[in-house]
Amino acid sequence: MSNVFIAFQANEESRPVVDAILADNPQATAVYSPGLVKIDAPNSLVIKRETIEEQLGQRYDLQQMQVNLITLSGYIDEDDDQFTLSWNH
Amino acid sequence: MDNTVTHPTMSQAQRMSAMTTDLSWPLSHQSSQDVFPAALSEGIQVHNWAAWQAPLQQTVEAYWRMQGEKDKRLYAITDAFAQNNGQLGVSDARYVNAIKLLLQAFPPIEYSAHRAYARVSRQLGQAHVQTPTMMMALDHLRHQQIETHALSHFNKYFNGMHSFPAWFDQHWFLAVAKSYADDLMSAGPCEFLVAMAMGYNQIISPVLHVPFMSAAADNGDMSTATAGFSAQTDKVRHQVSGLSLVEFLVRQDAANLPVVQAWIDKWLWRSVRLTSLVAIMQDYMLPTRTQSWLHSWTTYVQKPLEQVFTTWAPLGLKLPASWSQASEQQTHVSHQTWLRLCRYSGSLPLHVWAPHPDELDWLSHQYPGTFDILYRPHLQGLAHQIAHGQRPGAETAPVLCGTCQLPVIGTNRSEAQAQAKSHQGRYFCSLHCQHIFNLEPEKHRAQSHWNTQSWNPIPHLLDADVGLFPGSEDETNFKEWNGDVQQA
Repeated sequence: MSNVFIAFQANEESRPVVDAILADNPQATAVYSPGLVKIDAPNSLVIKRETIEEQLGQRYDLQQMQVNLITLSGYIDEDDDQFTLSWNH
Repeated sequence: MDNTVTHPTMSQAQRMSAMTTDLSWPLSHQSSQDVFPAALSEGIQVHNWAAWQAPLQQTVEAYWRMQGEKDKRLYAITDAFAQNNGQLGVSDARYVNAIKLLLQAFPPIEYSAHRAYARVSRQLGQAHVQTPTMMMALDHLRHQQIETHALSHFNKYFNGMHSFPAWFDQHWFLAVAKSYADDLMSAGPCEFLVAMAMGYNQIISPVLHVPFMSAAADNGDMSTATAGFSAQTDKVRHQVSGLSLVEFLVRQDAANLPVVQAWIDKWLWRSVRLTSLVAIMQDYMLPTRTQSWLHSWTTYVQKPLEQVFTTWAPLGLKLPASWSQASEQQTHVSHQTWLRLCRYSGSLPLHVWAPHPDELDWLSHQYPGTFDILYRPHLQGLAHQIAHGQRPGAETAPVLCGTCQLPVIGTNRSEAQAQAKSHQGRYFCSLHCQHIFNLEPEKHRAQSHWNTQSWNPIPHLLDADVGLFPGSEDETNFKEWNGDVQQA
């Protein structure tokens, strides 16, 4: 089994994204260090626009994540609705 | 949130095509070979650049909007830090030496990368590579600027920052960073892209801009931390597009595999050597500690990179032969480098010191089995010397490796073998550096020669406040500003 991870600046704007990730990925765990939140997940992790919009109460463009996205590990599969990290390639 | 999200009429992939690559046109009056000769100069065969689909790509419009948003956020924080006298709130004045080193070594590399990306964008001449590389050129210029801006507030109060570009060019201690930048700048276009993809973006940036910046925040420096994080939000795009580029090059033609593999071998090792600076920043220069250098290395470099190479096995790409040594030496690198710098403290552009007893205990806990046996006695000896008024630092320069330009330390077998083989007065820190030198001896000889010739006499180059931290002007000032005059 191999882990993937994704990390954001810890701020109000990334909070609903982190909440959405934890809601959609029950295996994922968030580790907070100063200024930073890193989410680890076994095998894969999915980020869904719809869940973030539910958390936010407004429309969201997944590209906006890039304002706070600091690092990740894994390969990306992305479209307008979903962003997936995994080592499947 | 400033970004207004509207119903997109085209998908992300359609927007990318319509607003970037589709705006290009084929040459009609000149051959591609005549207009873009450098594209073929390295023996790399690319049959169809359009097949490179890098993740996280943006249209130019989205890029400017997002970069503007990042800068607004960052400058709100750096301004607040300066307005609130943030320099008084850092954990301890020793901390400032970590960001002196950051400023002296890394923004100049960012600037070099900016210039090199701009060149490569022109040289490769394909819309699919021009758009992302032009953005990367602008990103690196931005990183150089925001890191310098974020740290400029400290320059008003502390020594060791005012002439960092000159020191980068002329100081032996920074030759490790300068030789790396020069090597990048003088590489051909595809070697440069692979070097950034596998070296800077996979090895240096993930440790410098993630765990170190988090630690900077923990030490009370939100200015530097936010600049580092903001830079890293661009670098994550570079990181993923870099990996996809390496894979793309190898898939394009069977002849590319050995060329790309040789570049990976070279740049992973060169980058690992350069991270020695980040290692001492994290293990020795942070008064408030969160995680060790070894932990950062394992989490952000070793495990992710080894996973990448596992998935690349079907392509024929392998981790370099130097990788096991690179990983093994991370248990030792911060201690050895710090002790070596203390030995030459009289000519450094920053301060060094003997760690406090509780910091030795912390290091012992982080490096079980090695630190107490190999390094604690030396550091205690150093503390003893300083306590008795002896200056451990010589005002001379050490012998530097002919390739990576780090001081030759002489504590491992590979290094001893390399030294045994050295000739013409040139030494190497390892067999891997010697191998890199031998691949392009003229280039490295010229760089090494230039570095040595350009060193000014150290006292001329530096202000007086260098060497040991105890008793320094920085220490005295910081205590006085914080109302701790009696102890000063």
